[in-house]
Amino acid sequence: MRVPILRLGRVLLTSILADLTDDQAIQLQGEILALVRDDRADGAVIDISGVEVVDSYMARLLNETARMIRVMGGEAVLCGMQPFVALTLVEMGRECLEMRTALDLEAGVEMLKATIADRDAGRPAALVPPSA
Amino acid sequence: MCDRQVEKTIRLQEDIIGARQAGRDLARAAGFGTVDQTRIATAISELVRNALLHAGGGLCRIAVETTEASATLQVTVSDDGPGIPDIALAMQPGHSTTRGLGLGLSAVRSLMGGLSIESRPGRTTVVTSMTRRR
Amino acid sequence: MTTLAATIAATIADREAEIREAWFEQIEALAGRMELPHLAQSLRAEAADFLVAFIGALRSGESDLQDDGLAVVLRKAAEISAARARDGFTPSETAAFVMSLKDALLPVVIAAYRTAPAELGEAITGANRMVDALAVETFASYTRTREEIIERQSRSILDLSTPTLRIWNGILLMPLVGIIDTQRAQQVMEAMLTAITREEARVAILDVTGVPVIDTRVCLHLTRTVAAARLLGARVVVTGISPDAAQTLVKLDVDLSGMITRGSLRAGLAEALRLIGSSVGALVREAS
Repeated sequence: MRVPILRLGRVLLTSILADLTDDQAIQLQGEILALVRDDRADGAVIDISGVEVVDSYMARLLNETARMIRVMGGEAVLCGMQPFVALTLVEMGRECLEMRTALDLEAGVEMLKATIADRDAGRPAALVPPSA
Repeated sequence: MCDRQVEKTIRLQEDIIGARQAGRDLARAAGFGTVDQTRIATAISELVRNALLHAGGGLCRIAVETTEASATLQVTVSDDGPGIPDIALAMQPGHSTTRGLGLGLSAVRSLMGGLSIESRPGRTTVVTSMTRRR
Repeated sequence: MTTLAATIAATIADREAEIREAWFEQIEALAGRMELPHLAQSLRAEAADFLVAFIGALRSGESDLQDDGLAVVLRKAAEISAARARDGFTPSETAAFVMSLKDALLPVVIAAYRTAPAELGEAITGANRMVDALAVETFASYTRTREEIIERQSRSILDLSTPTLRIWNGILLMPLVGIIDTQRAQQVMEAMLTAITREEARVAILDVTGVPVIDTRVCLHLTRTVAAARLLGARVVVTGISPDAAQTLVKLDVDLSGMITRGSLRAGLAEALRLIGSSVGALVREAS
């Protein structure tokens, strides 16, 4: 199964509609990272509303994807998690998912933009002051 | 005394999804709620992935037993791999020998309730079960 | 069944009137002891009804209360004790009713076998066994019914006590009242998380003003609920934590980072509005 990745302005959107095998998940990770680079995207919003099981492997893969995107200069937001998946994840171990999360795609895009705005607002002063 | 039982051979990654789907279906049929179905499917996912990664595959048996008062779902995953050298260590949260959060076995225990492991080189059997009042 | 057992059964059955008389006396005394004299009449009616089934089973001849006949009597016993449980009788009162049959039965049996001492022993054992079997069934049925009642009540209490109210676009309120045990805590978690998804809520206010005790277990569930809600993209504001609860939380060294707490529901609501980017002032202007 191929998971489509869409582009909305400078944000990548992807919606995982069913449980992925480990290889499919890794492939998706690779594609997202490649598109962040090629499209110079600000980041990715990953919708997992169709995912019924997030086990420790999937959780780790998602965490890693977020960290990789961050290393590349972007941000990542996870959205649409099923309530029962959230409950199960929390029971498995505290803070096993460290990504930013939002309710749905719309809120996810909003959050991604806000996160990047926050990041840029808090950045250190320019090394060379802007010339008058 | 088994009301229903399903056996899944684990050889490929797709089998992980198949096994947890089978577990979810059995759990639903036995009257387990949506949260418990998700706990069960997630626990099965952890166990069969372990078998696939460490032993190249194995067998996953899911059995449901219902009485008037309660329903019990038991998952047994066995493989003929090298075995778990230090079971106590493997149960520690944060311990991982492969890719994962290192939560595998301890996660299964907290999701399901009980977990027992028997392991020697050539034979590892992990049993976990969940009982709910009906 | 042995012929002797059959004779014993027949002997007892033939003395139905005597036994009824004796049992009624026992019941009268029992009702007196229970300080429920007005119940004597309905107890007598039940006893008479029950005795008919009992004697009928004995008379059927195929039975020393071991098979089908027994099943009928046991069902009757179960029915009576289920009714007892529903009417709020204590277990000992329910047991006393059935055991009083023994007090009525044994003197009659002893009198009947006075002339045949060889068979007396077996007759007494037989009679004892029948009543004991009835008592066991009565008690089991009583317990079953009580459990059903308790289960039904706790379910309805759970349903009543975990409402999720949508008080504004994107804001849920969950007022908790009463003791929170593990089962209820689970239900609160599930109800809140499903409501967050269903109502597309950004903030859920969990008001614990009405929760008398917040212990380690409740704490664990509180922190889990907050963490799970976060995974859905929502924040939880906990309001109404009492001084006692605050002492517990701090002494237990519970990790409260990530949990937003406010003293009153009013402050919690203000914080919730702030989180969704609105304010009470804006709402008032909007409304007017």
